[in-house]
Amino acid sequence: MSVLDRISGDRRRPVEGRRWSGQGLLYSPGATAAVLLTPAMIILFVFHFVPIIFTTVLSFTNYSIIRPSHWVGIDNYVELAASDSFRRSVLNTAVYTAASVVPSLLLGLVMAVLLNSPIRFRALFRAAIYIPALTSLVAASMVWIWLYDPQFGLLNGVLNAIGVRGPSWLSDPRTAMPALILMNIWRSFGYCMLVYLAALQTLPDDVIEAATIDGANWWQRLWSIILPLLRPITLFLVVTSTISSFQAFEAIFVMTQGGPNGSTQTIVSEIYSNAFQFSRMGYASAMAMALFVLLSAVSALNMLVINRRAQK
Amino acid sequence: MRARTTSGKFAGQRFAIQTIVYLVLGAVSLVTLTPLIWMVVTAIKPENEIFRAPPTFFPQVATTDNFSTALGAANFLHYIVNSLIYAGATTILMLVLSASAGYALARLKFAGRGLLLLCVLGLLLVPSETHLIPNFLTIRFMPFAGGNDWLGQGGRGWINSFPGLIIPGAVTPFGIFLMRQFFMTLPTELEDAARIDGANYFQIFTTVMLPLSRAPLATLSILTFVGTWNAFTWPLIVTNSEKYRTLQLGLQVFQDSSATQMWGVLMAASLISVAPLIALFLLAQRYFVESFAFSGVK
Repeated sequence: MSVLDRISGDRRRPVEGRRWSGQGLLYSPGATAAVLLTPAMIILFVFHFVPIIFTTVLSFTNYSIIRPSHWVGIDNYVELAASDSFRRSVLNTAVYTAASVVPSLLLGLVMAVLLNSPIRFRALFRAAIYIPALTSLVAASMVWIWLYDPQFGLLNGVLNAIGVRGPSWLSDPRTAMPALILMNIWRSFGYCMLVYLAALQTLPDDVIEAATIDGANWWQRLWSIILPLLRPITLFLVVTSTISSFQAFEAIFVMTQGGPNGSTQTIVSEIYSNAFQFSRMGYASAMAMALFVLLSAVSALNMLVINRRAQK
Repeated sequence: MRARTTSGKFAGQRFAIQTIVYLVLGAVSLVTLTPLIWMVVTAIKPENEIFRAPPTFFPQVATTDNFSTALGAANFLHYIVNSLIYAGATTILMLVLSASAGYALARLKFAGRGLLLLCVLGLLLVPSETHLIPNFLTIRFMPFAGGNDWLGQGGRGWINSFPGLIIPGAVTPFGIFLMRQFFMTLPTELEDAARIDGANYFQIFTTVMLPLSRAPLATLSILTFVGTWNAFTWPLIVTNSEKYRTLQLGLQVFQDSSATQMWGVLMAASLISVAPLIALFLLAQRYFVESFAFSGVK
C-alpha cells in the first residue's frame, strides 16, 4: 500500500475497501483506446496508408487531373525503363548521394572526435557547426545562390582576389552539381557530428582506459577501439543520410530547377515536374514506386549488413 | 630532473596538439558560419553596395531598409503569420494526437493492438514522395470542402486552405512511435494507484501520464515545429494563392519573380526565416541536441 499512499498522499482514505467500480465508456480499456486512437488512425489511414495503394494503382494508369484516364497496364514502367531522362536522374541522384554522404560522415566524425577532447567553448563550437542544419532549405538555397553569384557573389570575389576566374557556378553544367553537393555537405555534416558526439560520450570508459594502460597511443585507441565501437552509429548515419539525399528536391527546385540541361535533375525533381507541371500523374506515380523500391533496397541492404556483423 | 624534462616535453606536445585542435575547430566553425554571416551583412547593406564587384564583405553603410521593405512592400509579415499558424497548429495537433494514440498503444489492452502497432511501424518505412500525388488528389477532391459535393466534384476541395496544409501532417507514425516508446517505460504502479482512487482510463492519461511526459513532448514539439516552419514541398503543392503562402514559399516566389534581383530584401527575409530557430536553439541547446541526435530525422 505504501506506493498508493505516497501517490494519493492521503493515509486516512480506506483505499482497500474501495473497488474499482466506475461506470461508463472510459472505464473500459477497449472503448477508451477507440476514443483515443480514432482521430490519429483516420489521418494515418487517409494520408499514409491509402496513398501506398493509390500510388500503386495510379502507376498503372495514364491519370492526369485534366484529361479522362484509363488503365494502361505496365506501359509507364516500360517507358520508365527506356527513358534516358529518368536514367540520368537516377545517376545524378546516386552521384549527389555518394558525394554528399561520405564527406559529411568523415567531417562529422573528425569534428566529433575533436569536440570530445578536453577543450573549452565546446558548446560554442558545436553550435557553430550544427546551426546550418537548422536553416530551412529554401533560406539556405537563397544565400548559396547569392554566394555563387558569378559577378557579385562572395565565392568568386574571393577567387578573383587570389587571381582565379570563377565559373558561373549554378548555370554551368559542369559546376552546378558540385555546387549543390557542397551546400548539402555544409548543411548535413553538423548533424553527423551531433550524433557521433552523443555516441562518443556514451562509450564505455573502462575499455579505453584499459587500452591506455596497455600502452596504446591516441591514434591506436581511435583506430582499433573507438571506431569499431562506433560502427553501428556509422551504419545508422549512412542509412539515414543516404535516404535523405536520395529524396533531394527542394534545394534543386529552388537553385537550378534541374538545369542546366538536366545536369541536376534528381528522381524527386522529375517526379514533381511530371506530376505537377506536365500533369502526367500516372507516369510520375510509377517513378514514385521506383523510388520506394530503391529506398527499401537501401534499408534491406542495411539490415543485411547489420545481421552479418551481428553473426560474426 | 629527468622526470621534469620528460614531463616538460610532454606538456609542450600537449600544448601543440591543443593549439591544432582549436585552430581546426575555429576554422571549420568560421567556414560553416560564413554563409550566415554573408546573409546578415547583405541584409544590412544598401542596394548600391550589394552590387559592387569585387564585393565588400563588411558593409560600409548599415541600413534597415531591406527589413522594412521585406515586411512591408514584399508582404513577408503576412507570410510569417501564415507560417506561424501552419507550424503552430500542426505542432499542437501532433502533440495531442501522438500522445493519445501512443498512450493507447502502450498502456491499454484491446484486441488487435499488436497488429495495429505493426501497421504504424510499417508506415514509418514509406518515403514521403509516395504520398505526394495521392495526398494532393485527396485534398483536391475532399468531399464537402471548398465547394465540392459528396463525390468531391465541383469545387477545389482543401486546396488553398489551412486544413489542406495542416491535416495531412497533423500526426505521423514517428510521433506515435516516439510517444508509445516513452509510455512503455513508465511503471504500472502509477496507473494502479489512480485506478483504485476511481479514475477512469482517460483521467489516468490526462492527470497521471501526461504530466510525466514533458521530455518526449518537448522533443516532439521541437521536431514538428522546426519541420513545418521549414517545410516547402507540401505547401508548394497544396497552395498557389498569396493568401495562404508560407514564409518558405514566399522566399522562393519572391526570388523567382523579381526581375531585378533584390538580394538585400531577400537576405533580410531569409534571415527572418532562420533567426527564430537559431535563437531557440541557442536558448535550449540541450533539448535540441537530445531531440535531433536520437530522432534519425533532419
